[in-house]
Amino acid sequence: MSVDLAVPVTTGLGVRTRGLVHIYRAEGHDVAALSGVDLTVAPGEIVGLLGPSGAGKSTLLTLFGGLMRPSAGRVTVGDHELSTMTEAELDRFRAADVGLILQGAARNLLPYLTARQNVEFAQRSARKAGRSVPGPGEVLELVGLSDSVSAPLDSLPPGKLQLAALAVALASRPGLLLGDEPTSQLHHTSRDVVLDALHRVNEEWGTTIVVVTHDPEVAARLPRTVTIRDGRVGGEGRQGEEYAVVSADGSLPLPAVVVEDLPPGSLVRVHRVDDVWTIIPQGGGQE
Amino acid sequence: MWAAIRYRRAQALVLVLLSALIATCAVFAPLYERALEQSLLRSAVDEAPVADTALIVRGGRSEADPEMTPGSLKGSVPGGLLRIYGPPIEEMTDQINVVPRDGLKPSPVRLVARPDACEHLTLTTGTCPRDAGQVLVAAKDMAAWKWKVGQKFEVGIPGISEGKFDASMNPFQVLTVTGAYTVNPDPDYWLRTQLDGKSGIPITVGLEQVPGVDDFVTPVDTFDVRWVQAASRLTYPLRTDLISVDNLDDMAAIAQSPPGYSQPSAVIESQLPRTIAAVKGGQDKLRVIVPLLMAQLALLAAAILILVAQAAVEQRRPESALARLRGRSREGAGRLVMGELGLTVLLGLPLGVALAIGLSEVVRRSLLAGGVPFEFPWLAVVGLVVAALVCLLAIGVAVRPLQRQSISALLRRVAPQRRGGLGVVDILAVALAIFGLIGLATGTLKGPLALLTPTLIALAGGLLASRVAVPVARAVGRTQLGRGKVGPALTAYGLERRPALRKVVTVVSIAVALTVFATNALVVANRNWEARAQLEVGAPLVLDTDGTNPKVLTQALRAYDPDGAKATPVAVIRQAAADSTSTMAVIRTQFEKVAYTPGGQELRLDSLQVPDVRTVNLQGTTLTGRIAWNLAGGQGAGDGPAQVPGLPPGSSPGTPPAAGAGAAPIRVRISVTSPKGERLTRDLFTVPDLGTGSAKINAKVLCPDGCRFDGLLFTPDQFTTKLSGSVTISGLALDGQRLDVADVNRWNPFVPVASGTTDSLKLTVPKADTMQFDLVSSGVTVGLSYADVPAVVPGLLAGRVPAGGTAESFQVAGLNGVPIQVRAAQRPDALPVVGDRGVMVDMGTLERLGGTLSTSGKLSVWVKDPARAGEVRAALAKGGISVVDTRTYAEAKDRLDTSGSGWGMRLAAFTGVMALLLAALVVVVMTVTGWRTVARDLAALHMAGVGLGTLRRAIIREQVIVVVVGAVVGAVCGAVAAQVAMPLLPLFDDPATPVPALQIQPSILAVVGAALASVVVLVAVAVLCAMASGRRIALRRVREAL
Repeated sequence: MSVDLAVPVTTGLGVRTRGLVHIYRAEGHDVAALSGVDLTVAPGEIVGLLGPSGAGKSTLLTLFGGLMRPSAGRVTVGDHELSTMTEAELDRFRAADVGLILQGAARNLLPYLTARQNVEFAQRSARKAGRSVPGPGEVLELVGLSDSVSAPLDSLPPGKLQLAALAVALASRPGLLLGDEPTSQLHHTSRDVVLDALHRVNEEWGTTIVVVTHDPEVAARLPRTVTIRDGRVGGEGRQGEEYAVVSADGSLPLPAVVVEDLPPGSLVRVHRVDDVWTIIPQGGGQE
Repeated sequence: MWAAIRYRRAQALVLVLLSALIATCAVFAPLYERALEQSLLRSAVDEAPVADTALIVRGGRSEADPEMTPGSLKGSVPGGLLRIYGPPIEEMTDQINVVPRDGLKPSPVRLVARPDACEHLTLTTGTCPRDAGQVLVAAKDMAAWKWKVGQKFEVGIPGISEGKFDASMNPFQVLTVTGAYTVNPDPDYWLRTQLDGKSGIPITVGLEQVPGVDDFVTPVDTFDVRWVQAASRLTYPLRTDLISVDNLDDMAAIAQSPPGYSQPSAVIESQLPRTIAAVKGGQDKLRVIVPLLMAQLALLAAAILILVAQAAVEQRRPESALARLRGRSREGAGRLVMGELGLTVLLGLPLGVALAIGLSEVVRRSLLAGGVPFEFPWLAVVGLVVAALVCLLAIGVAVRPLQRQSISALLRRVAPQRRGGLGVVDILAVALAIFGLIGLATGTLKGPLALLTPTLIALAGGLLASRVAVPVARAVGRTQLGRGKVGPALTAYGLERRPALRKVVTVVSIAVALTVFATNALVVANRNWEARAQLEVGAPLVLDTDGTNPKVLTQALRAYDPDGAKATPVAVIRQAAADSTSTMAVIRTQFEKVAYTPGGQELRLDSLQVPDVRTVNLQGTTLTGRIAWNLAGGQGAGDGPAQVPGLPPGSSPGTPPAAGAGAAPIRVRISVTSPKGERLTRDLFTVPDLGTGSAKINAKVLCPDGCRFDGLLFTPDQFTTKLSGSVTISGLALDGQRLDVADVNRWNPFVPVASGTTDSLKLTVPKADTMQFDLVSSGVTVGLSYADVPAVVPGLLAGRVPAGGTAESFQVAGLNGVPIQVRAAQRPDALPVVGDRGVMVDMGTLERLGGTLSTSGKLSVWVKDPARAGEVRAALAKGGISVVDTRTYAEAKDRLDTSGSGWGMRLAAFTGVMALLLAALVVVVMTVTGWRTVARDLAALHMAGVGLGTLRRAIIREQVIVVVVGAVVGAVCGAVAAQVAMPLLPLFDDPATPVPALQIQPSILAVVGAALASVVVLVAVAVLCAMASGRRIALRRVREAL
């Protein structure tokens, strides 16, 4: 896989949130989608956001993409503090620095254009902002769609359609790629093709990738996963290991399996013996 | 962008059509208006006889200018005037008398001189006259009188032969026939000069009839200085090519320029300013009607375009979201949509222009007067630009909310909806509609808002209906679902959920309201035109005759149509003053069979019934009988000439006896009417003294041609201030033959000269053939009239009571112009022909009074079936009556139909059809733009187990309900608009108060008919669209990606 040298190789953009809160205002009541998320994604990292429906994963993703402003807290992408940026700055940010894949491939594409034309369409704002962008052919080749650049979209199978959506999100060669369930609605083969493409993008362009997924098999292929639960970071997985994450205020969300045994309001003691921390329920077994 | 347009090609096609229709409306209006203005002008100028638009200069010889010729009149015309007229046609005429054959009385003949006359005549024999004194005669006369070429006529020169001028001049002119002519029809040359047509037709001269002779044609040189009464005329034909709609004011100004001619005996006349004024009157009406109707359509079109654009923009939310997602600003994303939709609607404009031109060409070529040029006025360009701006503005208005939405909102499949309550647009529309409604109802609203009010009413109604529809549909849906009726519930929830359907309610409301308003306007206008035409003409066909005697005319008709079911005579007697009350005499029983009753008003013709008393004709010389009296009274200062109470109007009491001692106390006189209609009195007997006495009557009637017995008068001498008693007359006979008048029932009641007087006169018949008159007189003449004619003739009076009278008694002209006393038995708004300045009386009554028609009168025959014109003419000809003019209802109606107002109102038909077309298009657009969503939603329900049939019926019900609700609201709003806004539409070019009064109440038939037709058309379109959507419900739609 070759890279156009005319386009500067960008390093991925890191993402950092502090006390991130987002509240949806509905008729008559408010719903807190995020209730203080502290999360750091390193530049060039691939992170999967996991969690049950309604946990706040997609909300977190749209905040990363600058599609919404947080109700409270900070979101920083690279050097951009999104919560303080103006509308025009956010437009430029979306044009050049971030690519977002919406859930459902078709939603990412203009149906009356070919894959190549869609990529060109997505590059216009970046070009206008003075950003050097790769050629559409290069982008499409990177994601593995060089054989269908001019085919009508409605003739493409779902897997290729998802690759086209990926290409569009990468059109401006962003430092951060966000994907909302980019492999949903795909069968295994197509799913693997898309995941391969994501890894290739990460490897070749150094793009930071954050994807939302419900699929354990997809999560298993990601080096780092972050589980969002009730609007907070509920845990992390690294190389197959699950961890609880201590938050900025010192709270520690317990893994779901533990919560089943320790319902809310349970009293526990935390003991340290050497390097081992132990949680002992009230009235539980003595050391 | 082209790809985007191609992707939704059906929607793009509809948008193109919609913008094309808007452009058609915007461009067609000025094209139509301009073509109509030209048509009005061309009808008035080109199709009018040259004589009607020409400049005519007349002059007569006088002592100051004894040698005046047409050539010398040329200097009279200001140079400025000549710019718009062509070379003049010269004519010189005088009236001579020619004896056609020895032994006959001379016939009047017109001597006509025109340059180049022979070029416009066909010489059947002989040569064109070249020298003074030579003449051409009509070929008919040549044959009839056996004249020869070279024949000479010695004629007296008018004026000089009567010794009014220089006695040294030869008062006679010898005219030598050089040939005979027939006239080549050439109205542009002959103008109104008619050389022939008189030959053989008897002419009444004085008391005698002489044979008519056609004109003699002679060179101008014939009219030497002896022809002191020769009249000269110059006719300058209008250069119609110079007159156009654009220079009407200039032309009128030129034609009205001050004469400034040097010869005081010359008169310059031109009908052109009046013609131009009539054209401009029509133009003024067009400039009210066309904008009024087109404003409704424009508002509807704009509203529709905004609604359709909103639907189209709604569909482009995902694309806009993508653009924002890829870094475009709100404005940039808006421009993307604006560019695509803007380009689409602009594509429709050329099509619209082509349609407008095509439509106006159809109108121009097939409907309008010939000679209307094709023009593309600058207002059409303005219309096109306005249409383009309106289209772009509508797209801009629709796109604007899209720009305000956040990306996350744009990414939602359904845009967040504001629920409940009225929006600013709704409140504004309702407020403006109420304001306009009140303004129109009170007649205080003028200007653009007045023009837009009919549509604003419908817009407000539609918006409110669409708002109300939501909670109603929700409630119905809940109820139906509770009852387990899935189909109706789905329909109700569909209506509640889909904003597009509610928009259709608004659009259909406006369109149906406009269709109803336009249809009603056309029907109401036609109703008024019919009434006006019926009033103007009176019957399907009216033949104006040269007859002057109603009896002769009636007899001639009776031979043809004994029942009077086909034709009836009508006499109209006008007075000199323009606003005076004309008299119209009709035969009641025939009139109601033949004549129109304009405006549907019922004329109480029964009230005109002629009294059932036989007329007593006095055909003899001497009246005899016996008279007895028993009188008491006294004398004092006289009060002047005696008045005649109790007698029909027009009675002359005759000269009272000379003042002085010993005068007779009372004269008994008989009142008669002569065959000429004059009312005369004859002394019957003079009572020598007060007290009692008796004597024989022996009086001369002095009626050589016979008289009608009219009544008896008792005239005290002028010194008598009080007289009472009785006078008995018996055995009254004419030349020994008894007059059968001694019957109380055959006399009209006594009518005092004024209320409150003590004067009275009472008739009793104590025994056969004896009349006793008991009288009380304060010195005035008292009398009783014979009841074959009422003392006060009943009449139907239209308009105000003539000056000096009351509704119970007023004077109008009788047949011969002599006043008659009439009372108003009914006060209709208007009468045929005489309008609101006339009274209708019974012709039989006037005939009894006698007399022939005065010169201001016209005797016509009203014919029920125009196809029988020939038969009626023939019948009249048998009676020696000629038809001089013909008028038909069809022509009068056609004139109104082709007036400025008439043509303008035809636009209502276009407006109505276009409104319906636009509404149908909206139904289609809403289907085209929404079928994917609808099909996907319903496919999901199908997957959940709801049957396809149920789902498809639900869609059809949705569409039908929307259309029907919109149509009902629209029909009501249209009816309201028809009620309040019709006065805005000028139905007649003439600015005068219309007669008969306008009947602008809505036509129920038109309103209901238009509403039903609209419902049928729109429901059919809606059902077809719904069926098309229903066919697309398929499970694959649930997973549809693209």
